[in-house]
Amino acid sequence: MSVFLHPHRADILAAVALVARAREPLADGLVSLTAGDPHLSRWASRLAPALRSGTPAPDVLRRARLLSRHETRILAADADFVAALDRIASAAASPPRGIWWVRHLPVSCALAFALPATAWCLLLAANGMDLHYATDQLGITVGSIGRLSHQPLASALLLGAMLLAITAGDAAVRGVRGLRHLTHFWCPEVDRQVALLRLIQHARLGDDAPVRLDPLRSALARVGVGAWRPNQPVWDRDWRTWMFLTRWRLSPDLRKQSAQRRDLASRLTLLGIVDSDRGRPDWDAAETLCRERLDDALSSSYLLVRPVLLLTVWTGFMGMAMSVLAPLIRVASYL
Amino acid sequence: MKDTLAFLMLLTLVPVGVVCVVNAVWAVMRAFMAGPAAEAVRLVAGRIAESMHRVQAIELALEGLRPLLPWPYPRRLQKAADALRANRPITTVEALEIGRLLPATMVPLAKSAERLGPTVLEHWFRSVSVPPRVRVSIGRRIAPVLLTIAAIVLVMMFFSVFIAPKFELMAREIDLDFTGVGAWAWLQILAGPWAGLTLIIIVIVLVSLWSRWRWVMGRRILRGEIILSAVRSGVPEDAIAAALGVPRANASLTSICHAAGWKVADADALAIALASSRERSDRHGVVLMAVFEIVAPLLLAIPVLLLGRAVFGLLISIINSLENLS
Repeated sequence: MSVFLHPHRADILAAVALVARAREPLADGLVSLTAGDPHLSRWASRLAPALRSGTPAPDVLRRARLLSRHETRILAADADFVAALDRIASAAASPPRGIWWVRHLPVSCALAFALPATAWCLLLAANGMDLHYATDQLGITVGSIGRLSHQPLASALLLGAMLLAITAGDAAVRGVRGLRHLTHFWCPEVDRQVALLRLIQHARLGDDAPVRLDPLRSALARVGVGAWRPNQPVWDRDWRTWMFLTRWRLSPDLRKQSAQRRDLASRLTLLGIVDSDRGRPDWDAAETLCRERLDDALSSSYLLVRPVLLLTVWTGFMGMAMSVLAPLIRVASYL
Repeated sequence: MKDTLAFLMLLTLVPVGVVCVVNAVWAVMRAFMAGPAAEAVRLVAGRIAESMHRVQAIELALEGLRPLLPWPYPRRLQKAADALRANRPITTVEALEIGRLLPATMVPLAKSAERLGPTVLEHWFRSVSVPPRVRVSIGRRIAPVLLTIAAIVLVMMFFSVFIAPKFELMAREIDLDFTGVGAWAWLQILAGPWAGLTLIIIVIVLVSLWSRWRWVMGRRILRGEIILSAVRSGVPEDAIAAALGVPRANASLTSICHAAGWKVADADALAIALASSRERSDRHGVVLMAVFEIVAPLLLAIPVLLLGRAVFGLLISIINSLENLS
């Protein structure tokens, strides 16, 4: 789900899974499997040395940007490496596209506005400074947007700073207890399914042991403002997010009963999220259904988010283009 | 610098606010739609079919779907689950009817399938849960057009409430009367303060009609599925005829199929006809989508044309009136 992962990772992960299923040494098997494919063989020769050196396969794949941190943790924890890798590979083949843009909408909007505007500023800085120096010397004042194109380099810096501030603000709000729920306003359905998907993935691994927080999160938790709680399972934050987002959907009694269970699998079974197949929880069906709902939620929210982002790009572009004319209009009106 | 920064922040945060408001309005509008959404019906049908196959409690399956479906479906699912848990005897289809989880046009068919036994009902639910090959619905395609129309209406509402009265005031001061001008009347109709509400009501009515009509189109195939699964499960032809409301005097498979709209003589031929009908329906869906993708942007031209006529007509009327005055 990360934008930083390799776009064609599904093919490579599927190839690794294929080799692992054949119980061959991963490095040699990968090299022989991909011999006829120029794209995959490039990847095989890149991964093989690290795999031969004895580094665990999840770490090697993570370093090559083929796995996210969350997926690496799942792969390392799952007893059935091949099945887990298969699942990740098939999920990577049809990833929920555009999820980052929807979940971080303020940052997306800031980018949509700031990038075309910054491009204009830099273009002006390269070519059209004379007019602005002239109007400056004449003491002609322009409006607030006009001033942006008036001082292109400073404006580019300002826009960059604004972008950084919004990105940092988004990240900070997500880390603060209580406040972080504000970030669900623009895509509650997407956030709900993302949290549930992660819960299902942790539940199938029985990932219920408490984890130690890193120093920053631990410090925030001690102050009482952090979104993470010490000595809780790794899924604790996702559980609380999902509980918050389903507070109008589940009955209070059921919420209370499920919260009293210690392990996540029994909580999800009690809530009916996972069916049992011959007495065993059917995690595959639950995960597939959740992924379908996530795709559905994403395409629904993209209906609105896409035009909004396009409109913001257009506003940024046209706003700066019009502001270029502002000094000319002022000169004309002075004359 | 401060006002520039504030302006930039506004440009970033206003779109986020717009998304939040539209989400909230859509969540409220969903409750007023007449029939359940196709995705919800398919999801519920699929889950019930799976529960019936595994011989598990239907009410648990319905409760398990509550976190997966948007409001108002969680409440409806709970209502159906509670109806199944109540002491009085109630069937699965009746519970779904109470929870308004089946379109009204499908309830008689579901009851027919239920009368023919659990195997037929399970098969029928599974048939309902099959998504069409064209997964992107017309609703999804029309949404950008409707959103754009909504944006135009909102801008014109702003014009009508905050700017148009000033024009009227100016007109009154120079003794001009253009309230009777056709263009002005158009503007008042299209961009009056109630235009937003009118648009919401139109969308609710259109979506409700569409969600009703889409199932009507698939009824023939679903009736065929009932006959096929009943025959394959060994249900007597008399019982099939009774469940589907065919006169018992003609209770042969051929006559039942004919009454259900299928000109076939036996179950194998019906299976082939059903498969080909589904294939044809998918093909029609693809063609319909292609046509719709061409037509949908043209829908936008109508409000733009009407508003353009109204605004420019109004300006021309003012200029003419001023000329007459001078």
